[in-house]
Amino acid sequence: MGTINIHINHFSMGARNAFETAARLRNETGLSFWTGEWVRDTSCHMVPLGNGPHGKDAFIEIQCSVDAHAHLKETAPNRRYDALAAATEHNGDLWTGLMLGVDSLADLEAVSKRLGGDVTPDDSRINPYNHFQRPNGYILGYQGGPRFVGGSRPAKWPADMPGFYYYPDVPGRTSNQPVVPWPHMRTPAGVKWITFGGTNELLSDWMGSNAEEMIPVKFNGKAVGTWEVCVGIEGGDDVVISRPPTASVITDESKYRNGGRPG
Amino acid sequence: MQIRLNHFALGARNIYEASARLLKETGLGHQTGDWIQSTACHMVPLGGDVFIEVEGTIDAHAYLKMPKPNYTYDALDTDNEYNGDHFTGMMLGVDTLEELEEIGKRLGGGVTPDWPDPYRHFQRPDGYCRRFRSAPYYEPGSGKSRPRGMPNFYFYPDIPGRPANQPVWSAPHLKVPTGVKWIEYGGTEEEMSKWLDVPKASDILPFRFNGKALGTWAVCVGIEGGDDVVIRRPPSAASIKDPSIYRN
Repeated sequence: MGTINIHINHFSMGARNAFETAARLRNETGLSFWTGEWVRDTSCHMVPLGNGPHGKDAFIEIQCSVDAHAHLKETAPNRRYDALAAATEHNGDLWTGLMLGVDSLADLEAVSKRLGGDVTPDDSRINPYNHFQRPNGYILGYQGGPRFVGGSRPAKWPADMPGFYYYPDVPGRTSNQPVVPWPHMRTPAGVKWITFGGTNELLSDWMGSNAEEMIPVKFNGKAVGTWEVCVGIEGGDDVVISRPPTASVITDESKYRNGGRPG
Repeated sequence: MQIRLNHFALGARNIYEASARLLKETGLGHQTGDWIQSTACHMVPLGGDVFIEVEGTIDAHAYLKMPKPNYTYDALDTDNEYNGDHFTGMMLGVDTLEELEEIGKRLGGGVTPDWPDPYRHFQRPDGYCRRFRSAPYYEPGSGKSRPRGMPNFYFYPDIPGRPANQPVWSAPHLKVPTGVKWIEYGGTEEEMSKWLDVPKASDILPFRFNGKALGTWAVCVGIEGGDDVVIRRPPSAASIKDPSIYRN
């Protein structure tokens, strides 16, 4: 089997209030967004980042809980909620995930199998409530991995190692939807580089290839997760979006390991 | 003074789920992205400049820090066949600020200030800030409050910018609403007539009173080329057993 092409698919930015965060991020960067996508008790404002040489139609999903009632009924510790409550800058905003993409289901299955897991089922047609939905009824059918049977990832991997995704519908991709117009809006030209915690050895081991050669990543040796995303701007200066990752504000990971809701 | 329907508030635990379900139930589409502080609304135009705001919290952190008990939270937490949906308000409209001030004064209060801070107003994703005024407004700490379940009054100066006049998301089998045909409301004709200061409330608005807890119980909407749809949800007051705990 040849090397699997891995690219940056999207970033999750956790927010206490995605509406406030998206408006503030746009004031900060000029990058606009679209609204209305949701899955279960979470909704996302989507920020397309453009199509750069490495970015391949990446986007940011600004995600937040939109069902306080459901949250109060949860019995397991909620890592993302706790992290967002703990963070102090940017009204609690955190990078809560880096998601990588592959170009086929076969690639996704191979990556997941190598890591000891499997792939989430494509049940978007029979179980839409478990998938992202848009207000026009579109259901985002994608598959992700690795899914670890039993729910717990092997101890050798820290929390917040990136997930892998296969999005079969390219025109329907989140990054390819129109954003809300706004004065002084800028046109993104793709992800130029990201700063990630940990080391190249760790991420390369996870990806099964040299991470620094596969995606435009730099490492800072700190807590695992995204720290910075640099986005090119058509006809303008790059913008750098800096937020801490979830792991940097969680002091005790052990309580989320078995049965806790991940960040 | 002409008093007309302005909008209905439909409280939901999860506005995304509630508005998608309402779309399936009625064929009425919605806009997304309107928000104010820790609340967001999906707006459902009903025709005739009237709309439903499907409202819910979008900031669990802020919401859970609010002082308890919380009347709306407790009502929505009451299970029903609509995943907890309740009609949480009916808002009436007038055509000028002078009329609004007159109503505010008559009801022993005033009119909300035109706060300069956009964070105190509904905002849309394109930066539009919806400035409106409402009455009766009672200064915090005045000890006065509007009786729960009685409608308040609004003046929206920007008619083209009204939520009722914004496009909805396209979706299969969308229906075109033609306006509110009737409203089933709690309480009595006498109570509402006194609040509106008119001889007979149902002469100026299409009310049907059911004598139950105050608030909206059902809204009937006309449909272009089709049968009317009736949106039936209980009002908040129907699910609050002891309103006295929310008074102070």
